[in-house]
Amino acid sequence: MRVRVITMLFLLAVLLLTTGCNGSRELDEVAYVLTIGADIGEGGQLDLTYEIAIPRAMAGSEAAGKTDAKKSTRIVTITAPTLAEGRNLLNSVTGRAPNLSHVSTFVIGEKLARKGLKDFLGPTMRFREFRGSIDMVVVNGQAKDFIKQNSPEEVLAPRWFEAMFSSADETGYYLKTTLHEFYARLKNGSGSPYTSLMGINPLKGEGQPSGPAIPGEKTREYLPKDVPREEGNPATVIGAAVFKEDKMVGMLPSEETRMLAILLGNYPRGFMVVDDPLAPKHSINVNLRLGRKAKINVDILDGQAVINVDVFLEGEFTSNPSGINYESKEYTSLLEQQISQTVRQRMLQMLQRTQTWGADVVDFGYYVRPQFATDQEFKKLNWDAIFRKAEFNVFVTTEIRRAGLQRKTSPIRTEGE
Amino acid sequence: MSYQSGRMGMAEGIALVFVICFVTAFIGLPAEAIDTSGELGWFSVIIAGFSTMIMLFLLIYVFQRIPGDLFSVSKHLFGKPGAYVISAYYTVMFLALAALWIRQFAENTLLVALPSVNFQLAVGWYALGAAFIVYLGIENIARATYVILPFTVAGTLFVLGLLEPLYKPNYLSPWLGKGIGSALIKGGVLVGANAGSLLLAVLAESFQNVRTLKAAAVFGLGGSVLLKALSVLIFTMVFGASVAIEKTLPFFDMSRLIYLTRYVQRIESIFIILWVMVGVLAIAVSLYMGIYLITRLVNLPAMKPLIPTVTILIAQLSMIPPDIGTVFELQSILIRGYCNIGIYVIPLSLFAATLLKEKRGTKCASG
Amino acid sequence: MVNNAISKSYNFIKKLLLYHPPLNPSPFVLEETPEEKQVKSDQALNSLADSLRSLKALLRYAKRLSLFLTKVTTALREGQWSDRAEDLKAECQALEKQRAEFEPILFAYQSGRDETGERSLTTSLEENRRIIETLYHLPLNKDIIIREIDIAANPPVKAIAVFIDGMVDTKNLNLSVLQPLMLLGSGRRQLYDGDLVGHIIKKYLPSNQVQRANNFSQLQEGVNSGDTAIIFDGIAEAVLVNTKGWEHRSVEQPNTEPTVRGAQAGFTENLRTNTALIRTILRSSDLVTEMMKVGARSRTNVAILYLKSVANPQLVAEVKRRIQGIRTDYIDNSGSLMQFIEDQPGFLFPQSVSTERPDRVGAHLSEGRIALIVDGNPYIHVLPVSFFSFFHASEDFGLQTPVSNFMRVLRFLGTLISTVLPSLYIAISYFHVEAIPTQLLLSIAGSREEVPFPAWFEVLIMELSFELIREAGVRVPGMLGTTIGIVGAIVLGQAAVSARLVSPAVVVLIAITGLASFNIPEYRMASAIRLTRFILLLFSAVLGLVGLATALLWLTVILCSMKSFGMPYLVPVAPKTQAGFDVVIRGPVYRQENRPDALNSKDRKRQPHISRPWTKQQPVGKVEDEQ
Repeated sequence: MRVRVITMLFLLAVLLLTTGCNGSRELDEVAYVLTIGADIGEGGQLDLTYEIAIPRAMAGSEAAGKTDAKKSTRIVTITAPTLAEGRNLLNSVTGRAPNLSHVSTFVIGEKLARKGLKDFLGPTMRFREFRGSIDMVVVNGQAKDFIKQNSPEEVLAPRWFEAMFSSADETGYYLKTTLHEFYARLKNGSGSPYTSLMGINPLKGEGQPSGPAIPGEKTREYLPKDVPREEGNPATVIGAAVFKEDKMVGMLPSEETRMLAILLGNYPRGFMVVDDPLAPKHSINVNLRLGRKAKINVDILDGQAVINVDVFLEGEFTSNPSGINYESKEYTSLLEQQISQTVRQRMLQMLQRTQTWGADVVDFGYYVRPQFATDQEFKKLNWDAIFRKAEFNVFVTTEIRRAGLQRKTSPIRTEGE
Repeated sequence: MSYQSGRMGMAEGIALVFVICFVTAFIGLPAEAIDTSGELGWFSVIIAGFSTMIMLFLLIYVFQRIPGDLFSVSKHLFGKPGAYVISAYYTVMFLALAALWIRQFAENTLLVALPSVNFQLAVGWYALGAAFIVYLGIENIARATYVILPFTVAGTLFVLGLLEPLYKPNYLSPWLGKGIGSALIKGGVLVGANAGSLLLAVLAESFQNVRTLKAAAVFGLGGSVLLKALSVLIFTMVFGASVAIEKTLPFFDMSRLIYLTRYVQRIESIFIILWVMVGVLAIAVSLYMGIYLITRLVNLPAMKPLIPTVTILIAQLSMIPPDIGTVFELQSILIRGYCNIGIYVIPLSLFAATLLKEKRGTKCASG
Repeated sequence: MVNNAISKSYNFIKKLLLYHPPLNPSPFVLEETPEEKQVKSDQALNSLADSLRSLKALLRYAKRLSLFLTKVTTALREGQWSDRAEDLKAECQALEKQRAEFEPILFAYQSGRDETGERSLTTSLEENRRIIETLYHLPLNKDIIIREIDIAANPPVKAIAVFIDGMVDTKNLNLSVLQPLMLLGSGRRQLYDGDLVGHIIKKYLPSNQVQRANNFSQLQEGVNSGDTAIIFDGIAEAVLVNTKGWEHRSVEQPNTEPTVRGAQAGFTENLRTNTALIRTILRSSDLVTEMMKVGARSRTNVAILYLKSVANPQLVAEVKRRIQGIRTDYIDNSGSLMQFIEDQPGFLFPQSVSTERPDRVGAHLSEGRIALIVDGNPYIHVLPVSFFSFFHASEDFGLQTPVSNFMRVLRFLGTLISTVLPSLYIAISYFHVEAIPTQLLLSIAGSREEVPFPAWFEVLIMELSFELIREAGVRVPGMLGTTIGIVGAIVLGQAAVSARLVSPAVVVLIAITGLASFNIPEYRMASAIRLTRFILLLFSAVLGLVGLATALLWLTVILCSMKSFGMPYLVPVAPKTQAGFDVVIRGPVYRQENRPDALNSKDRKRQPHISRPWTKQQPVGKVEDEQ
């Protein structure tokens, strides 16, 4: 009897518990959204573009090799007032229940970014399927077009984004920017948010540099649209979008983004091309990296801030075509000065540009915090106003440590001698 | 006496105190601490722990002089009415904590783990989960807690450690936050989060000796307070105070942020196991305390028959607040107001009564 | 009232909810022994006991003397003096010899060492017999046989033969020891002249190996290793005849507990063979075999083995009490005996280690545990045990420390995998998809698209078919078993995947789980874990990780609440006791100084702090160099 009653109760419990009202879903009943794009739509609504995975393309051995990003995903664009409503409408479109927890990237159109992201960001921090580690990028153009035209070699589109950001440290031309970082800067006492900049390149090979070259530098700087290139995936990631509060105020091209990376301490390595100081028609290639984190020191006197920046770069020759023996001690310092000078000017250019936007993109305010004892005092300071009037002192020191695989350069033999 | 609570040693004492004090780190405590004291939140947690520990040591001093448990000691010092008042007070406190935690963990489950589960089922699940292990007795709860304790600590440290790339030390400054005075005062008020540690007094007889009590107070409370302070510290460093105070579930949000590689990310659900276990254990311990005190108070022969009744009542009680806002309000009334009487007033008065009695005793002896 | 299902269940629930005061007395808890608490017994008490012992010996001598005197008087009275003069003379000499041993100093010294076995034999046969009885804890110990014989001679020589049942070859003993001594002599021999022992050895014992022993430690060593000791009246010396003959090769390899590096002998159905197998490994006279009969009709012999000087006497008494308290008519299996005497027979987890390996039993006995042997069953149960003992294999201590630790960690990992992997998969795939890396998720989801069943059903049918294969492999006779296992696994798995009945991911998952479950060395523990897995599966299918976490917590609390013969099941972790260096991982062999604390054995120390004194000594051949 006892056993029978226990079995009865047990079965009853099983029946009650497995009625399916606990929200369990089979893996193949779910539509996995991998990327979300957002643009301004009609009447102030959002044009939300969802890139949804097609799991069938990923299964089994026969499909491998044939699959690419186009076949493994499909794209749906929905116009809705908010992200949440977009998810509702998506459910009506896909048949399967949408799940946003595998979203790896928010792609935001430039117009929306300039208008302000306050409304867009609303649900991202409250809803459990989004998380701070989602990458945020701004597209120089329409997010919808970008997602549609992006045809990476990876099997899945989000892997392209992830691979792209994990290789950001190869050049420093763009930065890995997460929602967490963006949001923290938006809310905390100082610092302006930034995201990396993407765009669709016309692939005509006719791109123009986005600004004048710094004297002494050979490298030119570009925005995604302007990179002179042809063929391949038109999606290009270069530069940074800078925000003031939640509105985008401007774009930093490649070289200036690299300066930002140096100041953020996020610059593992990258090539730099400068004029040969003694034979200016030649150029010298140096592979630079940060010797230590940039020393940043802010002095505030009577509401006037002086920001001292001390950057130390280490480098290695990668090319020295002129044949001048820069590997030797006396010539090296010449070259080092040249590099320091160029970097310094670039940095000042970037800082002044962001200063006119009023966007403290390096977050110098972060370094001011320890000078205050309490929150109230820090808030009274009003750092954003002070930043607009701040003075910059930038010191750059460069040390060429290695000379690559060649210990010196013999000049090319010429007939004239 | 079939409600004899069993015999427990140092390890069990440490584990019980740790789990009942640490559970608040999984719900609102870090955000609350930062909300009240700004960047100095981590310090106010330590202050709270420190003042609780002083009170515990005063109580242990009392128990050194007068052996027994809370009920018999307060009977000895204040007579029967006093003992009834004190025991009734702690009964309400523990049962209220149990109800609060059942509600909060049920809400958390709805929020982050099982969004479409039935609310009654979630509340019932936590109540059932706790009631079942209460049925097996405090000794076994304590031992199981001790088994799970290393995993709790390791899991928490793991999350805190993996966030290392996101640390921003300067977010800890301005280092005084909203001012040292407010940290001291509000930290003193935050002690309510450690109210559970008073179980040492309630169960004093079950522990082997005063040394066990002292060890449980120092290592159990001290350990949990240090780990809580570390969580608050890192929480501040990662989010900055302004974002941190927005979070309902700080621990969950921290575990969500972990991104090491493409493969080690989105691991927050693994830690669901951790906080569910700690939650159920804490609910069970406070439920046990409440029921134990009732049996002691009314002098019942056994406590087991009370378990289903009290659990059902507590589960019903926890469902009364209509929304999460009310729950937070009730929580701050409970933790900042009600619990503080239990932590400051009662131990101090017991201590004073003991001193008085001793003085009178020596006078009589000499005279 | 109608007696239907509803009213029955109503009554049941009412009975369940209403409070009944507990009827049973409080359960047995293994307490510390008084011996353990009190390190040294009182000096005064010791000397008192000594004098008591010597007084008793004197009393016995006096009795013997008076007996002799009555003999002499009857002989004189009945006028048979001439016939019995020789006899009486010899006896008188023996008495005188014994008196000589009562030299006060010598006597005090000897009797003080009565228990230790270091004393030498006396001339009195009775004394010798008494000492042997104390040494072997007779009549408690049923293994030891003392056989009285009279050797035909003039005067006849009284003697006893001492041997351990099962350790000696009975045929050999009968033919080459007892027969020549008892039958082949003649009444005219005069043995007491000169060297009696040498005489007997040379002339009357046709055995290939004979030794002389003059103290009890030699005698015990011989007897414990299968010799028969013959002690003669009036001679302070014994003869050890080689009669070794315990079961050798009829003993087979253990079937269910094979090891790579351990001993390869396994227990058999014969209780005597089994005790002898244990005694060949643990040759201590401290090892007591107590016999009991269980079952009103089957009258099955149950042997309780323990080391008298180590095992906790309370524990021994409790186990004996429980076995004596069994009322049943038939028992043939040690497993069913265990269910009669376990603390919590209703629980899944076994509360005693069952083994068919003598080396394993020996190791456990030497730690202070008790072994139970049921006649007719080759599985011997060792108790009390903790949860962690089930994951120790007998060869663990034979391998190097890091190697065996690696294997132990592997076993615990296997246990963990086998317990939670399927339920973790179900929980995550139903409720927490974010935890799976995107690409893995998509490939699992993709392979599931054509499967017509829900995931929990997939896991369940694969688990069930795995269990079917396992059970079939056991039941099918002989070589077919392995074939069925392999064919079943490969064909079923492959076919199920290609027929789109299950997804490949689930097949991999179940295969790993199944493999992991075979890592657990103890069969009953492996079965318990297997059942636990199904329960966890149910919980996680219902409430995801929340359900799984609750179930795991319940499991932990239940394990904490269990006791194995009064010893907490999760000792030494919960409750925390002084753990030896042998719980999950083990320390080096020479660091195993103490017996497990929780066993509360009489003697905590297993080996001295420095168990390798040679490391402190001068190495051989280096002495000259030092100068």
